Amino acid sequence: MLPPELAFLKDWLVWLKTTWAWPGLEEVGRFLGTHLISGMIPAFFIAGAIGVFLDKQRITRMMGPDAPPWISYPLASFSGAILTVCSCGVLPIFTGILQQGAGIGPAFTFLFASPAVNLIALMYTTTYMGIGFTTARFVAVILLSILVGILMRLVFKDPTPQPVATLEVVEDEDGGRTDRQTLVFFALLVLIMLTSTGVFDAWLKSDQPVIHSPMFTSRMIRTMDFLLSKILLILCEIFVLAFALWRWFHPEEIRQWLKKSWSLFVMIFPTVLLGIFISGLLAALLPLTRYMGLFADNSLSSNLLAAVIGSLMYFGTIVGVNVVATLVHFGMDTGPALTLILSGPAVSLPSVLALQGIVGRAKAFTFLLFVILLTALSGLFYGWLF
Amino acid sequence: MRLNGHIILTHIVYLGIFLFSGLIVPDPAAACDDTLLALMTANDPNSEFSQGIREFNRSLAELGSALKADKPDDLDGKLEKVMESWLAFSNRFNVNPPEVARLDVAWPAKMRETAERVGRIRKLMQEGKHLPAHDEILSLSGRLGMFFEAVGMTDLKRRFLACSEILTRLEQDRLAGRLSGVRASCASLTAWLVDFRPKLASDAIPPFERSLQAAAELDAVLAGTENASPSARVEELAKQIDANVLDLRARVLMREWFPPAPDRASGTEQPQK
Repeated sequence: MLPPELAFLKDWLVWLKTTWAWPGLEEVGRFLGTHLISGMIPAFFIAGAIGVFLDKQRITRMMGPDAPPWISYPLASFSGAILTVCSCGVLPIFTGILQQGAGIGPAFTFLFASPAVNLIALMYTTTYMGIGFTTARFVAVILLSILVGILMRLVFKDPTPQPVATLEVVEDEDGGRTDRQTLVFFALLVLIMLTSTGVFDAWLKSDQPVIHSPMFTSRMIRTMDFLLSKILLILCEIFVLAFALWRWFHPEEIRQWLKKSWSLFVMIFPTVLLGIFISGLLAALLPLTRYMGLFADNSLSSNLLAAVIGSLMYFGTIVGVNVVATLVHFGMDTGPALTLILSGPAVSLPSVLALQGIVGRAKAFTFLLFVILLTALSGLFYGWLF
Repeated sequence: MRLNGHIILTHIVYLGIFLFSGLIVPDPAAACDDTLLALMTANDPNSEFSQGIREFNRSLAELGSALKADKPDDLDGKLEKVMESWLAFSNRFNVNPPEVARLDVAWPAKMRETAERVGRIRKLMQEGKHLPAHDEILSLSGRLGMFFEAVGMTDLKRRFLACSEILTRLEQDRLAGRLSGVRASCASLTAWLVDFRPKLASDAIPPFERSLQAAAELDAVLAGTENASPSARVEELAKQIDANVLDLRARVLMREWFPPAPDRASGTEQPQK
């Protein structure tokens, strides 16, 4: 119960629910509740660490403009598999590797592939759509991400690298750490992200009967039990991370890392929230199910429509799979279904808006255009085959 | 057991719904049993799960009514609402089942079955087969009880769930003109009523007897007819059965929630459960 002096908040909320802005606000609330702490914040810390601790020369050698394409593109395509990020969560990491010298092609390959080839995305696709569809998704994501990267590289040239200056900075920045220590530090960051995004949730949920309590329902007890276990696990991981920082990193490096993570947060997050808000409004105005009649066959128009909708709407990794699986049960053809599951995680209105601030409007909208065209063509081809 | 004000208020609201639904003659399409679903979700009516499944059932009932009334202008919007409500529900609960269904290993299969049934309804409507689509809606609505199988349901709720399935089958067979099916449902209903009889208190006997009588009369009418199309009399008797069973349920529930004081003379209560 709210105290009487705060009762106006309830009236205000009731009023807000009647306004046009409510669907957008609801989507923002859902995003903050499910993605902010679990996905976005760890992603900003990883991105900050890439910018400050990772050997710039090494990134340039493996994913830079002059790196051999048969190494840089597949590497960019597969490296997102260990991350559990959505189309917005991948942005800080994309910014991090781009600022550390990755070429435009491999960077966009990474941006396209990471939200779609990660373990959670593939696991849920197999559960809800079968191994055949998952294989098609996986193969299409790898091929399309490389193709999108190559096309972006052809349209936009990489800036001229400055190898001498870069080398000097890198030698000063490594702080005398071994490669193994840096690797352990990044592994800990990724582990925190995996834990917070729910990869280990099944192991944390207890099936044991709960103890009866006069104060709490069994549901409340189970929820608290699960949350406390999860928080405890994350705190343990943070403790180990803090220990690693204390042992292997200079205080000045840590300060730079936090500063870099914060600057990325300020640059990306507000635009992402604005995009999520607009996405929520669009989803309410144009619900997917309204177009079921158009999705029922495998035509170019149905695939293009699925690609446009998928590229503008924001879907979390798991929800995206469920939406496509449910629409297939409702009667969506397999072609538009593949198109939607390819375009949905790769890009969204929030990610495109935020991308503008990172790489500029031209690159952001060209990327969007390539995603729409290529995913639609892939879906069309898949629907024609199967 | 002490009841707090919130629980009493909730019971009064649901009792009101049951009594009201028992007084009015139900629309045939409303055999999509909204009140039964209210009963199933009565333990936690404000949870996201309860609200979501009731919203889905309501949208199904609206589509069913529109199909029955043959209002083609309205159908697409109502079908869209059904799909939207199910999509929202499954986005929330497909991967993370509610607490009450935590141990239900068949949960994903149930979710998938429901989505496939909605797909079948959509396909039938596209083909202009409104009656089979209505039939499918009744069938789906009757199946929603499966989401509560893992919940610790009382014997009473299980009985009413079984009864709802019989009534849904009866309605489907009647609309499709399957007279042997209607007679089989009458027999099932009679057996259900007879089995329930020893547990009924005196105030539930009149609707019990009226239900039994209507079922017997319906069976007799069908036994004497060779016409495959449902007659007005059959429809009237089916409505009587629905109304009386709802009345019976309302009275039984009223006694469950507000048990009468023990009889001072004999020290016993009237039979119930």
